[in-house]
Amino acid sequence: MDKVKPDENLSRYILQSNQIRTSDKTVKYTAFMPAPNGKTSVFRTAGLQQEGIWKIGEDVAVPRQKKLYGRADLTASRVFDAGLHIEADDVPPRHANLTAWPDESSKQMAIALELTASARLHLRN
Amino acid sequence: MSGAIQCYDCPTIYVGSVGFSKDSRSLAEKLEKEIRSRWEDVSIGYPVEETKEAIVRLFAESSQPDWDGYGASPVTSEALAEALKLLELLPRASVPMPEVTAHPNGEIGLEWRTGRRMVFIVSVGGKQKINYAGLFGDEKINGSAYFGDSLPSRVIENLRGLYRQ
Repeated sequence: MDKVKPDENLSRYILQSNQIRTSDKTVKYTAFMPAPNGKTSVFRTAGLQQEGIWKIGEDVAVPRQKKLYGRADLTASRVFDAGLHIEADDVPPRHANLTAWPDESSKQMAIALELTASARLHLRN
Repeated sequence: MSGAIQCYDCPTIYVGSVGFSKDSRSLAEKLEKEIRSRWEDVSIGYPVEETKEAIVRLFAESSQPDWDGYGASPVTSEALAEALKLLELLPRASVPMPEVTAHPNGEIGLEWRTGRRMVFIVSVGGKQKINYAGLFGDEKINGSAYFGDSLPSRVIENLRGLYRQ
C-alpha cells in the first residue's frame, strides 16, 4: 500500500445531519471523532473529479441505508500535524483510516476540533 | 428528582437615589419587579426549551447502535439526563445556548462557537464526568472534571473566556 502524502486530499463522508452546522454550513467536530474501534474512516480523493468523489460517498451511504448529507475535505498534512496516523487499506478502493487517537475523550475532542477548523464542508445537493 | 440550581448571573439590582417616602419605595419595588420579569424572559425563556428539545431529538436519532453508519455506540438515557441537567446549570445570562451533537462513543456534545478557531465543547455520558476541549485561536485546552450538582469552575471559566473575547 502506498503511503499517504501530506498534500493529499482526504474526504470524510457525512451520514448524519446533526454533524452539520446549518447556520453557517460548516462541519461539526463530531464528524471526525473516532468510532468505538478507534478509527475514523476516510477516502483518498486526490485526482478525482467532483462526480467521482460523490460516487464514493454514495457507495458508502447506500449499503448502510443512510442518506449522504455531505463531505468534509481536508489535506493529510492537517491530520499528521494533529498527531494522528493515516493507514491506507484500499478496502474498498481509496479507503483509509485515521488512527493513533488517544484514549481520553477530551484529547480526542481537542484533535477533532483542530481537524474541523481546517476542513471544508461540501453539501450534497 | 429535585435539586438546587446554581445562579451565576442573577442580576444585582440597585436603584439609587430612592427617597424615603412611601411613593418612592413603591416606585422602586415596581421597577425592580419589572426588571426581574424582563430578565427572566431573556435568560430563562424560549431558547432553553428549544435546546432541550434539540437534545431530546438528538437522543431519538442516536439511541440505536450504528446510528452514524460508522459503528457508533448508542446515546444512553443517562447521557440524555446529564445533558439536560448541564443546560439547567449554565450561566444563561452570559452564555448563549449551545449547539448539540452526538459522539460516536455515545456521549452528548454541547458546542459554543464564536469563530472558526474560537470554540469550546463539552461532553457528558451519564457517568458524572464532563469532558471538555477548546480552541482559542492558537491556544488549545482539554481536560475532564467531576460533574455532580454543579458545573465545574473550569467549564464556567472557559465559557466566560470565549464570550469575553
